[in-house]
Amino acid sequence: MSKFPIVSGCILASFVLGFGVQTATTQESEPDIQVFVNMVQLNVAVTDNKGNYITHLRPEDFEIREDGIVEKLATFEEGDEPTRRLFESNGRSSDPAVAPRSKTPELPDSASASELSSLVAGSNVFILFDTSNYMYRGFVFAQDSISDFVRSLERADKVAFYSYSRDLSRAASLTDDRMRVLQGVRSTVAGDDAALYNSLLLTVKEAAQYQGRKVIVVFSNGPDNASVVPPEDVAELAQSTGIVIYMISTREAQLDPVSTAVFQRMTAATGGKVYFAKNWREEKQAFASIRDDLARLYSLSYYPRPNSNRGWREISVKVVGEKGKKYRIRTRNGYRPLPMRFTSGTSAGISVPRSQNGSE
Amino acid sequence: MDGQRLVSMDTLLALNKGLKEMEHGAPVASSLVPLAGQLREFEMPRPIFTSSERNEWAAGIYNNRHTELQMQTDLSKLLKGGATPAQLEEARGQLTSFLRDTLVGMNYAYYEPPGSQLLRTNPLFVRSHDFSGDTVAGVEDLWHAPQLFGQGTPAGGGVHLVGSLADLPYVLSEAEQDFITPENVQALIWRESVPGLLTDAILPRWWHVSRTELHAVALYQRAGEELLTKAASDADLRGKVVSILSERMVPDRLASVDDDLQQGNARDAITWMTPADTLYLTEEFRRRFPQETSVWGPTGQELDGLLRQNPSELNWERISRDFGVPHRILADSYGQQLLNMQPFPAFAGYSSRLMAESWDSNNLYWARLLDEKGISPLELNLLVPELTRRMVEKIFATDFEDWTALLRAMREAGDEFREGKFAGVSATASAMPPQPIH
Repeated sequence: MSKFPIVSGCILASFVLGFGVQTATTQESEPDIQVFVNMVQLNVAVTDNKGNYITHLRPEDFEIREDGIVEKLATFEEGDEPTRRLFESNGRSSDPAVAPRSKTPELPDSASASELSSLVAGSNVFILFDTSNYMYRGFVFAQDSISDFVRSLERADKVAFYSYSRDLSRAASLTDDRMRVLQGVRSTVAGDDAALYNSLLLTVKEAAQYQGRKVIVVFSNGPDNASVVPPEDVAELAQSTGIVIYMISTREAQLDPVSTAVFQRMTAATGGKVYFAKNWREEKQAFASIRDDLARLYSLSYYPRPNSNRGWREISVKVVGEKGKKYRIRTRNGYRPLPMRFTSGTSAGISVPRSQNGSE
Repeated sequence: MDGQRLVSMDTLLALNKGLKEMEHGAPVASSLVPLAGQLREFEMPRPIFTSSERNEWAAGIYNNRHTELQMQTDLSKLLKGGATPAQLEEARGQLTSFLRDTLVGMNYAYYEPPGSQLLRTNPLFVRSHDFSGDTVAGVEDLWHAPQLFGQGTPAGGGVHLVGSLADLPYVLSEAEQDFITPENVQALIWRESVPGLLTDAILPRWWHVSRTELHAVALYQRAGEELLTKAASDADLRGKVVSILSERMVPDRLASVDDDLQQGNARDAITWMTPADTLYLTEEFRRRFPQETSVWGPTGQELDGLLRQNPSELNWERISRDFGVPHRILADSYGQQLLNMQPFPAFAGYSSRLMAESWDSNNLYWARLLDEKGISPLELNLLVPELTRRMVEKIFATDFEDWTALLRAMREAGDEFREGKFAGVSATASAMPPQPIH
């Protein structure tokens, strides 16, 4: 195992959740029920207690539990390596390191390795930039930092750039054209009230429609004086759609205890990180740290075993073995199965009868 | 109403019936147990703030006692048997708060503005509706028109409404307006116009409108344009037209129309006209000059024939009622009607609703588009909110008097619809070939 230094010291594990939806009918007399078959995708970075990234872990090094139920990995990827499919649709393991477990929901035949890879490979990075009245100071420096960040992202990544004040503004939709994004950054102007959580909600919903790793990077000066949705709704949706939220703010935001609390807790809940930058140099460092995070994520996925819980499902991840006890994991701590409108329809879906799903 | 996670009416009625039967000695029906379980399925959103933080940062805003009490409701013990009639009656009483939420939720859903997010995201929004103002300080009048509380208070658990359901369509539109993403930066007249425009799109319904009436509304507008075209080459007619239009156009715009007509440029004159202007011009000209039938071209003549054939279906009052909009402030009524008046400019504060209320044109224009495309008038119920939303996205005013920004936005949305670029339309509307109207 090798180690890489990072700015903050913790282990990152983020989860990306894809949904497939199918309807299962148990008896003619019973109404159809819609079962949300989740391919839960996990983006996991592991660090030691000094904040160094732990790399070159293997699939069998991870243990994932959902509501205490041990889950079986379906795919595994480290960094930019190709995605490895860990078991076939007939339940046979394609990786000798992973032994098949009994009674596992089958991978659908339609989910080829390339499709599975497309679900997790690369990052879709949504940048949300505060252009409210709170941002007059340091606005240009923030634009510069964001521009540098956009240039620094890996080629495989796609980027969207949105700004917000009272409303969301889609300056550049998700694209691999860096110039278009940079033009969007330069086109922003500051003014109006700040509706951060309204705008973040819209961004989360939009990001949720895409396959692959999805992260949102928020640059905000903090206060929100116009939103109608609370941050907990946004955080929960981000968790449930597997979107990691990073937030960069200024020291001024720390004067607002509400913003500080939300930023710290929302990022932690989604597996992201928060940075309070003193100056434009620290802003750049924060963006560099996020870029490092993205480059060192393990991407894991699993199909949840039968679970009758229709409410919040707790997820835990750990690295097994003695060494694993010293490692830290930063991850979202669960998800809530979502109504059908949030499903992408692109993930592999499985028909699960009422009995098999364990519901009622 | 997935977002609100409310208990269904079927469940509540079945539970009520089952408990009532038990009161009269019937055994516990096995079907009641899972239904009772549904009362306990709701979970509060995962908290970000502690209780003390909420008390400190959202004092007077965060109050979910109603929901928290609901979550303590557990009928499972009663359904195990041995409950007294009094306990069962009390249990039925506990269903009342769930019933309240479901009924209130239906009202919210019925008036859901296009592009709404709050209603679909915050499961406490409906449950937190406070009719009597118990949850906030400073509310003295009970059952007043609803007000929005908690905006811009992150620790407050989201906004909620305090007051009656009387002004619900407008207040929901007010709450949801900022989720519509403008194509440009937010228009200066946004807050003055958008909630009203959304209200005009969600409050009316067109289930009883016939193809004949839809076609007549389109003909009214086209006949007005026909009249303007002829007025460009007829000085006497121009005088009559300008006289009529002076009653509902502001002076500078009227002067522009007059100039264009004098120069024989009817096309430019028409660009100044709102659908309500052309409709009014046709109706008023017909009323004032009933003998001057020669001025009408093919469209005017078709309209004349249609009105003669269907005098009861196509009278002005009916068209005004079906395609007019509510004027809550101007007319102190939610009744739908076309008010022939000059447009109000945007002002801040109380009068902000006047601008939108004096804009009667949207639904007339959407009706014309559907008639052009041969789409059933029933589709108005789906398309009008979506077209209005698209229009709102396009509003881009350069100053507070730039109400013609609404006209531009409406036409741009209409052009997209005509060209089939509007995804919302293809997804909802089924175009049908035009059918003869009799």
